[in-house]
Amino acid sequence: MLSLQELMKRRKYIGQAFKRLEDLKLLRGLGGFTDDIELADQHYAAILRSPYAHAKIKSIDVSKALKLPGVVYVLTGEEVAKLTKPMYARAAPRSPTTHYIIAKGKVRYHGEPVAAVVAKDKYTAYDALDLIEVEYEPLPTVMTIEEALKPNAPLIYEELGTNIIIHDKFEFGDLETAFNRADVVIKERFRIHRYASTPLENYVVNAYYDKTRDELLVYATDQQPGRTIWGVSRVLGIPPEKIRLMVPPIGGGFGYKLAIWQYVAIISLLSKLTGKPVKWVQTRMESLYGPHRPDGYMDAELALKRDGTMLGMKLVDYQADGNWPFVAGLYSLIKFANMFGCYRIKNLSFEFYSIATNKPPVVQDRGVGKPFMTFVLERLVDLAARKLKMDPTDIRFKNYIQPEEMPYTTPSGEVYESGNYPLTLKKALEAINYKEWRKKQEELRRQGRYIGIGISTGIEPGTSNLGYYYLSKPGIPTFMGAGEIATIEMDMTGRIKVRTSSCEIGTGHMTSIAQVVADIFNISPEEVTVDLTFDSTQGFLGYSGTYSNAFQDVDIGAVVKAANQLKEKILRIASYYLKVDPKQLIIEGRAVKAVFDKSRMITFEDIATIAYRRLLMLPPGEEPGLVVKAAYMNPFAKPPQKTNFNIQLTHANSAHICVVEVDIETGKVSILKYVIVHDAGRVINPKIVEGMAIGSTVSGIGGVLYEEFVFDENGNNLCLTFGEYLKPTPTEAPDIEVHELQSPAPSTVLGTKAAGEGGAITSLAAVANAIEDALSPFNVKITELPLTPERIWRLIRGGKR
Amino acid sequence: MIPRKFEYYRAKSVKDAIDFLSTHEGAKVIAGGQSLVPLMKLRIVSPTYLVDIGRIEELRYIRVGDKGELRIGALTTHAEIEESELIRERWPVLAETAEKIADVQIRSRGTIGGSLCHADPAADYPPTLIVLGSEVVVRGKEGKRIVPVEDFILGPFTTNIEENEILEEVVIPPYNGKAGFTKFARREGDLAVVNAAALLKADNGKVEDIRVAVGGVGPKPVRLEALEDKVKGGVIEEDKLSSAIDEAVKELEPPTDVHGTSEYRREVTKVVLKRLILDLYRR
Ligand SMILES: Cc1cc2nc3c(=O)[nH]c(=O)nc-3n(C[C@H](O)[C@H](O)[C@H](O)COP(=O)(O)OP(=O)(O)OC[C@H]3O[C@@H](n4cnc5c(N)ncnc54)[C@H](O)[C@@H]3O)c2cc1C
Repeated sequence: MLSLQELMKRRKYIGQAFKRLEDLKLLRGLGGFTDDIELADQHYAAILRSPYAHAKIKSIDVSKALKLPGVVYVLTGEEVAKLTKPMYARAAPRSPTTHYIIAKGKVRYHGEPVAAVVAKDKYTAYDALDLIEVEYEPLPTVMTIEEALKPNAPLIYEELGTNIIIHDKFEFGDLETAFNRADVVIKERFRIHRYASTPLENYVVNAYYDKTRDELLVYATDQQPGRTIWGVSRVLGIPPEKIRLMVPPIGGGFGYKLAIWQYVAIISLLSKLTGKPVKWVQTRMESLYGPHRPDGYMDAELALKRDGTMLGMKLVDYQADGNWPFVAGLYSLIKFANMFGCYRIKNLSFEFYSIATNKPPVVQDRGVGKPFMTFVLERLVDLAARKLKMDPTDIRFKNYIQPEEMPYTTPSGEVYESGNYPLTLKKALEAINYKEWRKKQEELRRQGRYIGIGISTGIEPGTSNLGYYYLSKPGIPTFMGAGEIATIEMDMTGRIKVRTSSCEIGTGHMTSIAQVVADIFNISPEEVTVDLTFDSTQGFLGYSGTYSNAFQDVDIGAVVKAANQLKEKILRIASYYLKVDPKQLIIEGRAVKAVFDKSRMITFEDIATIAYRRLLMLPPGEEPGLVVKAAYMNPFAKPPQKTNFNIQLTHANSAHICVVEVDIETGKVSILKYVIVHDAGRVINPKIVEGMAIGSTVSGIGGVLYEEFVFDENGNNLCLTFGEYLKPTPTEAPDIEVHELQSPAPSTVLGTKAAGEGGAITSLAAVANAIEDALSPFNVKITELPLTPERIWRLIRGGKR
Repeated sequence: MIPRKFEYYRAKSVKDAIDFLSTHEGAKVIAGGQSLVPLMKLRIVSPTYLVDIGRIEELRYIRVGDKGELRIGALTTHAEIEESELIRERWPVLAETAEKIADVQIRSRGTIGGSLCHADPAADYPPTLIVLGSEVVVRGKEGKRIVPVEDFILGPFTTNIEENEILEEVVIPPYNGKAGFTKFARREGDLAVVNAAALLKADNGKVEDIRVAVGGVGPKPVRLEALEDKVKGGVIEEDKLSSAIDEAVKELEPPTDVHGTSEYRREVTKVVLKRLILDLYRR
């Protein structure tokens, strides 16, 4: 087996900003996305959505719709309830039992599927929706957590007798002593709003149930196909081996495409009922109905000594994520992965409530609960600095976990495997020239201009140990750990092809995998074919997919493992043929050569010929063929225990510094400068990682300044087009300067770490802290997002100069 | 996001379009499609026919008329107005207005005629056209009529054009003095939370004439004549200007929506107007 040291010594491509191999196709419109696929006799589905946030469905009359020429089928919740099992809560001790893939009996949010139509073309399908007559009886809505917790609040799930889906509490260390010793306690309620990633490509499902083989074929824009097969099989009662799920390259994932399985189930059922291949392409409006990130609030208390030393923290987290039970609790539980931030906090309690409301469903959007966690923590730190009259940098330096403490285990059991937090901030302060900005801030303030500097440093965890879902649920977890499968083959002509069981979501898997495999076989990345289509018939694990920043860990781990096995096999065949000891062989120029006499060589092509066709020339006992499948799991995942668990398995970190100017008359914010120092361990392709840091940060900036789903008093979502739901565009995105540090992870095969969520996690507090700093003459305290111009204007008016 | 069924007719001339519109119930003109198509996709509007006037070249021009007035054909795009050297030189405020509309793609398709007929209360052209004293030429079966822009726009998404009429031309008199347009929006290129235009003539610091109009803060763009009267004839002092603006803004009833409450819009209007007028005055 090729050792890591050897590979790192010989590498030509790992670590290079190699141009992305996938871009040529993408730029020519040849991406080959799910919607590009049309099956023979293709039919189309459209989904009718509830105009109410909470209402009884008194009756549905589909007769007019069925009479429209071209309409083949109309499916309602009543029929669904007879044919399928309800969706269930994974993390909750008790699951709701009445939430079906199409609403039955009552609707629980504005936009919930109420019926689905199959027609010969998509226009007819949408016309038919206008003809379905539904009689609703509106019910009182529960739109906020405060409303949901009232003693006589209307119930979202009557069968539970409460709107609290999960409530649990964890405690680490000696909190009482910590708070008794404290000189100051910063206590605040922080709020997070509803916002969401909105990938350019919406959900697309194309399903065909083949009655001749009793097989379901599905193409879907699904980030977590392993889990979807599991979920769809369970809900529809089709055995997993009868489901073939294919995922072509996806036009942006961001976690949004983790919730598609509900629609895979609906469309598959429609195909089964009609015998036709049925395609559904979600409209933009449908995508804005939900899922979203949940709104919520956290009551946080941070205890400190007068010199700024952090002693302990109490957190009580309320998340409105219980209305789509499948993800209830996840936004809270994942906070364990970064709740200690970069700090040496020894004592902590965490209590959480997952609450059902009539807001739309929730999905594990970029960073999941970690952005809000970092927002709370980095705001608390700034508020503490203000109170203690310390510079926000000093209080951070004072409390950082030191590089020599690595690997560091947090009181809850999370293992920070490597990193240099003080250096990360130090580098960022140098890069932005912090002292200069502080001077400039004073100068400009004298001219009546309000500049602020915001610092946020955060942990960016990746690779979920999925056992964490079950921390609050008794019994053996359905899923634990994290792993992935890769297949590598040398074909009959000596070319190398790789696939993993993850999905391509736009994050450069093809290029990164090709770079790694190229170095292992000493060829160039262009010579490696990477198959980007997930195909369940090629083997997969329960949670195969692309999410949780696991690619750089378990995918790369599986690829390296498979490639090494293939390489060994090639060397064995060459050794037998050349009669040279494998230790004396090297790979060079698509051939295996003797180190001492390079004319003694055999080409890849000839090796492949032996393996596939001249089987009698194989070494004795060697299996024919050159296909290797290898599965890899991160070896550091622990089984979940309430007192000791690791939620995620790698921990990148970063420092964000943001400079803003606030127009105090209108509340409008301009970002003048933005610097990131990002440590994602060893990096395979720095350009790709830099791009993700920037994109992810812009998504965070969107969350702070622009994006918010607003609901009226009846629970109607008012932001159903991009005219109301405002995404930052290139004109809003500042120039973001990214600097790199590399502290390799000892826990992954190549030393890589999470890389795609850090911006979304760490940026919220950077921007918010900068705005509060700019407004310090007005004594403004920021505890709530988003910071729209109007909200800032109100804060300024409410504050006292 | 999928429109209802409709038929398509490509008009050969203005007369052809008017004839077709007169004989087909529910038919609607399409120019650049930048406002109409989104409404169709949301099924808010469902025409039976789309009468495409996009190929009628006689409606696409920018030229100066006999009296030195600017004449713009209805099909002229926002991009053409933004880039026209003639307009940049002699009606610069109009180019400055056009360049603030939406994004490059929309400016390349959307037309001035379409913008005026769509009559979004927050559209950008109207305040500018109003302070410049512009008119539109509307043609119907019986011939043409000329309507001041102020009277053409009646309210949100309503104008005084008939279903079988075509807006042919926008006519803008020459101006001297300093004119400016400003816009406050959540993002670059969004529809305005508030926009405003002003035309100011001053001699030695004394205001001889001023015209001010605002958009986005009521059912339709309006001229603020009471404010103009207070400012006219004297020198501008910031304090006095502010209180005059406060008075004028009191009369407005801005809408509340997800981008801002009525109260906030009112406050921003004050800021926008003060900055615009002072900037013109000091320019
Ligand atoms: C994302 C987005 C952002 C935008 N931002 C802005 C902005 O910041 N500022 C702004 O001012 N506008 C904005 N707009 C609107 C834009 O300016 C439109 O282009 C314009 O309003 C319509 O022009 P059009 O040629 O595309 O008209 P169309 O969409 O083709 O037609 C609009 C309406 O006018 C009628 N019509 C068109 N031409 C004629 C004619 N000659 N005679 C009679 N009736 C006619 C049509 O029947 C229809 O009812 C935005 C639009 C979008 C989609």
